[in-house]
Amino acid sequence: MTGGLGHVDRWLNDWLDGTLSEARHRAVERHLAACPRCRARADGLRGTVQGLRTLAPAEPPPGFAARVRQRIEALGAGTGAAGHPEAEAVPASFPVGLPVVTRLAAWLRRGGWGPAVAAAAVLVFLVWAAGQWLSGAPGPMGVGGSGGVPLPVAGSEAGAGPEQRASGAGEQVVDSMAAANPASGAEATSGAGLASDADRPGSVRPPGDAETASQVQAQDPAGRMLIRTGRLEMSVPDVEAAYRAAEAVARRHGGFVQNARVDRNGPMQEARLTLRVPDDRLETVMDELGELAPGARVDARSIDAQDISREYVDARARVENLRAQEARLRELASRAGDVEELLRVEQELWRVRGEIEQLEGQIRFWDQAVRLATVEVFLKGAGTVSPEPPGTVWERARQAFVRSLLRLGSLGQGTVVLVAALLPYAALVGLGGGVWLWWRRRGAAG
Amino acid sequence: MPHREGGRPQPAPDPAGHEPAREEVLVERARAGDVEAFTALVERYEVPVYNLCLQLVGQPADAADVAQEVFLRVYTHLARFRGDARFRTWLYRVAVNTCRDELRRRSRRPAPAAAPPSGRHRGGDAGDGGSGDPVRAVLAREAGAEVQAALGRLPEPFRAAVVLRDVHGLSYQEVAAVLGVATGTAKSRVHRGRVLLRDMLAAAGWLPGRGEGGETP
Repeated sequence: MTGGLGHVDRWLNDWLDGTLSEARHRAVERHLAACPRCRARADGLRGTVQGLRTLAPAEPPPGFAARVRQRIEALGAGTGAAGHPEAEAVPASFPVGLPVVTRLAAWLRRGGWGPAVAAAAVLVFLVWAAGQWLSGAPGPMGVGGSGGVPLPVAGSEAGAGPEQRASGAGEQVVDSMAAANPASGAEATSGAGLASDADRPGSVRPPGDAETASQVQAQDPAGRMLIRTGRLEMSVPDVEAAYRAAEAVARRHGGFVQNARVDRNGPMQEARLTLRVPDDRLETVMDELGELAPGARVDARSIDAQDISREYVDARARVENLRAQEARLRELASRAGDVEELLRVEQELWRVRGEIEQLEGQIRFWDQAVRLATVEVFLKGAGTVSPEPPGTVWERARQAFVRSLLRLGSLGQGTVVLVAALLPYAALVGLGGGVWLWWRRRGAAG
Repeated sequence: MPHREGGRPQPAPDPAGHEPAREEVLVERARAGDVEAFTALVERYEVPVYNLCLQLVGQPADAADVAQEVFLRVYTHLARFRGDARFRTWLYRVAVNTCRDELRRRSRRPAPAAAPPSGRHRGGDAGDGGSGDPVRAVLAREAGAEVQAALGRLPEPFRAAVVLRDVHGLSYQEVAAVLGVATGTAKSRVHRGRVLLRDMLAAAGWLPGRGEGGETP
């Protein structure tokens, strides 16, 4: 019986459509016969549908078909497939994809944005090309100097490496200790080392004449042990280029860069390099560094020599003494009577051995320090101090343009980074918004 | 009587038989650029399309413009009609989309549909069984305008579904295809729309069904 069903609201539409199963249909009819409430609703629904079905169709305005035909013929060619600019909501066929996709496609097809995008692209290209041409043109723009040194970033501000520009007020430290020393430099160094070593044994001689050494000159013919340090302060138009040129100078003379750093602080740029070059080339290197770049100016130049002859000789003598002592101790150890005595001898042997090694390390350090002089170079940007070098209006305009372009570039990079950082959140927000829109649209436009 | 689909009047002049074949021929010729054939299609469908637009958009003047737009779109996109659906379904889909565009453009609720020029309602002539039912007799004579007005107040998704199903006599599958939704969705929209309409008409005093019992089953 239908009593168990309760009211039959949920079946009424299907009952009306005649899509219920036979048994269900009969059950609904029985309930309707017994329940005035449901009967009234069923009658109302049937009346509504009946009213809809019997709605008299309105006549379209007279001449409708003719008007359509006129408009079609006004479209021009009678090809059925002619693109109609206003048409956007026409489904290709069934089933059409997601409504969002079709709407997007319709928006894209609506046009108007096409020419704008093309114009923008042309404009961007023109600006870019102008920047390339202006910054690439040879001339005083690149304040300074390639100076014949094959530098990848010779001279142009636009060419300054991106890491250089990005470093902003930070600092860039290039540590190229001996490990990073190019092979050619290493060979040259060891070559020089061999040459020095050739007279080193002779340097262990009575230290008398070493006391008189006071001159700061090239390789000491008397075999004095001198550790020499050159200092050079320069103002250069282009710190970056001079920095690389200095590296090249050191390498050319068989030296290497022990330590280097470039600081950029606003418009000011500074570089400090510690070069190691064979001692006998120190003066040549200093001279070449002085002529590093066309606009370079040497502000200070000095060479210090530290005479370590006496310490060196002392150390050698002590090592020899210790070695003799070591030999005696070994002999003792081989003849030691009991274990305790042996242990004491061994302990002494260890101490002597340690001292020898320490002294030998010191000697090796001196050897290298004497063989390779140190050159400390301090480069400071002269060109950057006066940001408005004299020039024609054209030059200044060009520089200003290139500078603006560079700033725009870094702004663009920053924007890209920002967008990348926001993208995950934006995707989430977009997803939520899309779902919400879809839901709303579905409710409003279904 | 489980199946009562058959007795419904067909607004579209689409009797079974050789007509679909002729329609296919017309579509094919129109697609090839034959304006005559397309005009024949327009004449065949102008009444249902115009009425659909009128029922969805609301105002006769707008409905005429929208209906013209529908046929223009159909003409310019005939090449895209692949024939894997009935032409009428496709045409209705274009019409529904165009009407939605129009409504979106105006972005306001359409005014309730004005009574059509041929305002007389086709009385109780549709022999849908039970011709002696006084409620339906009253409805048939007087409720046409009220039904139109209530349709205008129906929310759009339900209005489109109900109009397609009950006024234009599409099957649920066709309604689903036209609306671009699943068949179940189409069905539930039709059912919900009918119930909403019934409640509106009952609230206006045109129908029983909101509690007070009627006498006849």
